Amino acid sequence: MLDARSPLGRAAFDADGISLREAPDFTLTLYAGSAISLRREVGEMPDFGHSLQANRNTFFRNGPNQVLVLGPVIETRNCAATALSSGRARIEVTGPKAPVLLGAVAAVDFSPAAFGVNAFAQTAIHHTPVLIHALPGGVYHIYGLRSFAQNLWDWLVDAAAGLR
Amino acid sequence: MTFKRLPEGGMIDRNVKLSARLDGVRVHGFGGDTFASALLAANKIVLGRSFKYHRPRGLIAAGAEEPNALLTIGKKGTQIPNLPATQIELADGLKAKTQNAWPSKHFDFGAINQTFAAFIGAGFYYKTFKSPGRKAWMFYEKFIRRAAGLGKTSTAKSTLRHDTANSFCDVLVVGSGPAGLSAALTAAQAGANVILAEQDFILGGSTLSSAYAAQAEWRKAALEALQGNSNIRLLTNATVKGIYDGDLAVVAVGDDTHSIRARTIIFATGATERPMLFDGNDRPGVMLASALQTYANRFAIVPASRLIIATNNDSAYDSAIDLASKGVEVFLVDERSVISGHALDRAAVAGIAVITGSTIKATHGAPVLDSVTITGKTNLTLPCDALGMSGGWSPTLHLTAHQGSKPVWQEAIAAHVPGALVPSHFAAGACNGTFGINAALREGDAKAQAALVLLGIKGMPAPTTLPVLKPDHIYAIIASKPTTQSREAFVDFQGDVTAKDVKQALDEGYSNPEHLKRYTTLGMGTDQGKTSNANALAMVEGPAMTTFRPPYTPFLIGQIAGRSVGPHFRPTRLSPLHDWHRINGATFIEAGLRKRAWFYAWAGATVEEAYRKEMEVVRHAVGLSDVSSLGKIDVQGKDALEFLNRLYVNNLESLSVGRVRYGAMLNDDGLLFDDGTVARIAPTQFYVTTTTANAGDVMSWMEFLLQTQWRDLSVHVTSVTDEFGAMALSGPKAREVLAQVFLNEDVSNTGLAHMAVKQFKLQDVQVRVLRMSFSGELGYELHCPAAYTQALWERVLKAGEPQGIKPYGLEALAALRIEKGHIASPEMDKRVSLDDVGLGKMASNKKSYVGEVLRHRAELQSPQRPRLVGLELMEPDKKLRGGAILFAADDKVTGHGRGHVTSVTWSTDLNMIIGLGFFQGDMIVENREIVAVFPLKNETVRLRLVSPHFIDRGGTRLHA
Repeated sequence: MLDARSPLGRAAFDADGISLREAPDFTLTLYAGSAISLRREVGEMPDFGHSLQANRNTFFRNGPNQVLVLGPVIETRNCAATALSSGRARIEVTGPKAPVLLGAVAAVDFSPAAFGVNAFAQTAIHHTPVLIHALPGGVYHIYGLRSFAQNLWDWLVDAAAGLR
Repeated sequence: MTFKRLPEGGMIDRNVKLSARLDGVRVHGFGGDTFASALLAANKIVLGRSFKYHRPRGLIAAGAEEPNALLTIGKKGTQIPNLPATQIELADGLKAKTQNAWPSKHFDFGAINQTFAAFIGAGFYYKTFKSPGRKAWMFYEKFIRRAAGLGKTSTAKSTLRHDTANSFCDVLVVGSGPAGLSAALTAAQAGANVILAEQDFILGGSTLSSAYAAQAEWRKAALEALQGNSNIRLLTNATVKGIYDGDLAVVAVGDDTHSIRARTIIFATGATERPMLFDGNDRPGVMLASALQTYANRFAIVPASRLIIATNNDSAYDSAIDLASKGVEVFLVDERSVISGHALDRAAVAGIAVITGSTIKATHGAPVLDSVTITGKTNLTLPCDALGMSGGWSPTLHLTAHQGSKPVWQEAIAAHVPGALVPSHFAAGACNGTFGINAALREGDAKAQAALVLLGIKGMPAPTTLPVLKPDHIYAIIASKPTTQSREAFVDFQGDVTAKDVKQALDEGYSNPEHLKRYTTLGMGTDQGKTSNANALAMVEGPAMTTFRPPYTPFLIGQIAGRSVGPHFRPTRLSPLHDWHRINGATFIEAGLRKRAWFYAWAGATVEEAYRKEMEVVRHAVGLSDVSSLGKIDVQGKDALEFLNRLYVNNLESLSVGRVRYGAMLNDDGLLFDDGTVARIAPTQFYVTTTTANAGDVMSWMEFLLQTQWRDLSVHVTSVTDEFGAMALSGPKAREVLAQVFLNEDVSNTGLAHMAVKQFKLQDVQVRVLRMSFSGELGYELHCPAAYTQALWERVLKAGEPQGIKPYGLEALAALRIEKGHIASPEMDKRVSLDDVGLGKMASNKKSYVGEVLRHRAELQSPQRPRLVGLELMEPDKKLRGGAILFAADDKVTGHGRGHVTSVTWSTDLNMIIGLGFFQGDMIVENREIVAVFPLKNETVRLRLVSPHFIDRGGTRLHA
């Protein structure tokens, strides 16, 4: 197998109340098709903005007829499947100031009431598209485009320096 | 005129002693002081010069409305101009300087303008600087710009840090006076998520200016209740600059900027006291009565002995009584003849002499106030330390109007109040025209209740018990119009607009408030007319108001930019091969957001040297170039072929699986939009590549068509630009290298023919190999998942070592395609047609496609349209530049010419400078001599028109 390179070289950053690290090595696939086909061949469609965990996969409904699936590839005959694992960088944000940092960089309400566990938002950080996912234990995953990964990382580290 | 700090009282912390400097002179103060209060206590009365006439000016106000006392703080990278001293919290070591005066605020050469005051009134600029000719302004401009403006920014790079944050709440309360605190309490106690924004550095609003213990106690209790409530965030030093769509409030919080998205907004922004108009109303020592009250009660600063207050309403009596209670001798000059007995009784008890039916005629003193002449029923001149003015109150409507609400006139209070607000907005207290502290408390509570109903928040608080606070006077005012037309009576202190200017503008027909404003510069300064608009517009026939626009108070550019500065000015986009390029000697160039490898050190130290060597390698051996930036789109679905067939001009029906086709698409106006390739991966799956520049636009265009025009098609498009890295392997030895990489695959001319696509596996990694060429040589594009792109790149380079493979950069990539005559972004500027670039024959006439009809319109078929041509430089010692204008050899060089140069390069094959460009179609004759003119550098060069395909017209190399 050829050597795989993560977009950020497994970067890590720690500051007071905030930790960032690249969380590479994931499988991400976009499935598109009719609602019936998606339900039958890919899985139950969650509501927009809330991920659904089923078996080893996490489902993010990110369009009327499409779902982003984190985890093992699902075989489908009638849905379009597009691999996106290489095209995304994943950054894990943890620490008590994680919601504050996210609030500094994205126009999303990250209060626990509005953005609890399993919530996700498709938004932008520094003009680039991202998907932010809330996991248990105050962990957040940011999925950004690979080509903007370094830019995204630098922006987050800079914003962390500005937290008071 | 002198002021003094009282030995006790006020809300200052005398245990915290602070020292700052103004123009190098030390100023002492206490914790809780503003720079303004410290200066007043130190008897620093003249704090700058006015904008136009350079008149000495001092403090007028105690808050954001201050028009005169603008200071510059910091220096070089921390320098900030035009800050009202009233809004600067005193800090130890703070350094400030006064503005708009040279050599000093006490002796200012600019004051000579006062001599010419009669000639530089309203409209002076418009009338004077338009002649003697059209170019007159060009001459005057530099002098006027030098004289214009107040404070100056530093040219040094800012070292201030401005962070940004996003916040969300159910209720945003703007202002922390009685109405604001009341509203915040009600909303927070009901369980709403509340943010309270206060522009001052402490909470309390107008209660901070009151001498009454009951108000202070209520404020203390309210703040304790709020601070103990986890539902509320209290922001001080937080000025709401603007309200935008979606109830987005942009708030400057200290040096930072918060974007607050509120479900409802309660404006409790208070009111601003109006100055009065009389000769010398701008003399240092003349202040708003309420400001004198604030300095007395909050900062324990009072005039040394005698104060005169001129008024037309009852509110000034409160100011007068407060100051009298602190030992100041106070005279009240009330222009009303009929005054309520209650007000007169209170004044009498306080020992205040009230002069009724009279007003101020003029002030005296140089440069600061020393006496006042009173006129009316009583005529006399009185010496004094200060003069207070109270011309009534103007509700602070600014923010309420940002979403289009038009203020309405309320005769009872002789002021504008908010008109119909958008449903999620509420106004309470003085900003809503509700004067009197108890009325404000109750209205704040009521508006919060209304907001809760709108929000559907059921958890209503326990029945609110609002206190009855004293004093509580609903003041009376006479709705009088200013009568003075004097050149010495200032309507707008900051813009130096006088009553005479307004009268003159009205006489000249500028009676519309918006015209009046622009003609006189009324309210156009940094204070946005907070103290001036009401008086000026009162001189216009009927109730009038100009338009309020953000920002409410000036905003630092740095606060708007946030952290989008320096390396973060805009996002940067990197190739999956970026690290390899960096380590291996690439010099990068910015192409849009991308950083691309421009050329490599192996080929030379400069681009001119390097790209020629890199071209040589491709033309004679083999090169490898990073083309990961190409747009890549995965198109799937049972109607994918039909979709692409409608989109591209080519007939794709015949494109079989395993084949690639070069294609072009048009905009719906019939002009060329983009070119690229379509590879058929499977019967219902296509892999589309676009130009780097148009990748995003093509994707959006596809989505648009599928979502709005062709909803019946079952097609799914996904951008895979970032998923796939890509590299171009080009040169006569490319196949040998490819064979070494994919040892078990048939890459022969039959196994992988020109315009074929195959998926090869390399150690379990799928690689899409597309045989096609941008350079004109035998070429392949290798696309693989971005995670493996560097590994593949290194593998190809290793495999190609025997063939002399080298990486080549963007400059060589562009040069090679010019030699071949391939169009790229410089030729596709959205103004050219398919026929202009010689691709008309590619369009199918057996089907319809986007842009087909308009492509055939007469204008696009004109033989005179500029067509793509090749250009050879006939004068090798001269330079041919992109953008140069083309003329026929015997043309007079003027105007837009007959075409232009789009791309230029050195040709390794022809050993000369060549280029591509567009030239008038009916004038194109091969080998015709023309000229290219580059006016910016005054250059003219001779060119020869040739075919745009400089090399291998038969395609022998491609098909090798």
